[in-house]
Amino acid sequence: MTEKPILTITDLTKIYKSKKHEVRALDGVSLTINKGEIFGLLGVNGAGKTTLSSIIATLHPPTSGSVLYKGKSIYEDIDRYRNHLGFCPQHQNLDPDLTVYENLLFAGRYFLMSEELIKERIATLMRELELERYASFDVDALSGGNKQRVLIARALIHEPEIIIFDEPTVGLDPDIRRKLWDIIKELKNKGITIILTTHYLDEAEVLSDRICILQKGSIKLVESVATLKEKHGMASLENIFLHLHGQDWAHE
Amino acid sequence: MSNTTYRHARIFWVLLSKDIKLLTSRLDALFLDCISPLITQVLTFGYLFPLLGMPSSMIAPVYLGSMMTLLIQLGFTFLIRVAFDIKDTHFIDYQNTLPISKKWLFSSYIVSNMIETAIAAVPLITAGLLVLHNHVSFEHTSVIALLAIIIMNLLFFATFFLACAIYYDFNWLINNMWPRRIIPLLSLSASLVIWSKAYAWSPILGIIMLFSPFTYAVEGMRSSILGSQDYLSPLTCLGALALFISINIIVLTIGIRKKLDPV
Repeated sequence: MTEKPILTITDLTKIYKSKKHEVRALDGVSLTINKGEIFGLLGVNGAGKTTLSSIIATLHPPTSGSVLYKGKSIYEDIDRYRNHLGFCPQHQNLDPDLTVYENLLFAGRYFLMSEELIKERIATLMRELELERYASFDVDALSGGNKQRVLIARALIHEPEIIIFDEPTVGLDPDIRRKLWDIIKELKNKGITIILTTHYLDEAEVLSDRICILQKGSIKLVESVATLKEKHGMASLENIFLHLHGQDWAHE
Repeated sequence: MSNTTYRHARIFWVLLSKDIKLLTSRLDALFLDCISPLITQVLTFGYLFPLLGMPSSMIAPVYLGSMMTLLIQLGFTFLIRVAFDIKDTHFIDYQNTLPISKKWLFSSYIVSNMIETAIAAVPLITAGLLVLHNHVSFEHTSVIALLAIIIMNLLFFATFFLACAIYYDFNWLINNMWPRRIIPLLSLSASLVIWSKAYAWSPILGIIMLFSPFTYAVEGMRSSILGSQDYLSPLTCLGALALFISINIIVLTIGIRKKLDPV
């Protein structure tokens, strides 16, 4: 694996303000994500995982701090950055008025790909993600697992360099989770950089090259799974996670 | 045109073409949804009200006023679609990560709704006027003024309902949009009366009506079709509609920032 950073995040802060409250969802987050790695973002609910991934996905702006893509701010040429990015959000937000095929067709058109290339990509993705028989289905008629596959296909249609998965296996059956893990591993083998937001520790352990544990909007640690196990002398990520949280609870 | 603008314009066209494709697939349902209120309005204002003593000269202006409900019905359907998406489907989040600027993205929503409303309402309103031709004089019709008023009306309704859909929460819209926004604006407008007559009867009521955008939407239609001697002039209505559209766009911009917080 190359250690070349593709994304450099520095001092990222996100504050949500309402009339009554001010929530600091991210507080000075700094990290780098290397090209071709699976980078797992872990944390309990409200830790800031989704906020961080949606800032990287350019869905929301940060309050302060910077996100650099290959050394340049993503906001300098946001269209170019978006052309290199695929986003699988937590909500399965496919276009409900279109069929599976049409969702992918229009996704390709949104990125101004040629019709010929779009059709080629759709055929490849449908084959790889085993979606061929669902091409003419309305998306509402699909199971959760198949919707997730269509989301992945949509995010990959324009051949992005980076793909963000925000809680990709929430609510899915164990066998479908395993199949999605295989798909994610396959994407990594193709050289795609993957940011995986999850609160399933087994998922993060199996898939991630490095993990980042977020807690109350701040980074608790960034390490490879193997280094973490070695450091803490524990066999599973779950034990390490509970151990770290146990320390914090004791401090509190 | 710069490269970026050209690319955004092309993506805008793709977004629009998707909406047009969907529109053509539900055109028959849309037509059915609009034809039933149209028939009842033509019957009520063209035949039943005259039976109750309404003078024939009132038929055309009151019929045109009643058509506001058709435009509101179409606008409200659009509002629910957008508001539900923000609350539940979140397709708008995907669109917000596409390589297109927010201006072009939300313009596609507005233009798409304008096309849908024009396709559904304009032929039916025209058909109603033709059915009532014995009571309508086209002697003073100004085609240019009428076209301008139609475009501004479509733009007003699209921006108004999009702004509300994004600015307010879904539950607020379901519970309060009709009683707190649509009904007061409609009731205190000149949709079912002629503004000059209302003003002559009560200047205070006349002035209050000037605060409702629906007054200009309907009076503009009346004056451009029937002549401006009894109604607010097309120019006044165009100016007022432009002002209300600007307010809608400001509310829409605040709503987008507040609710969607996009880059």
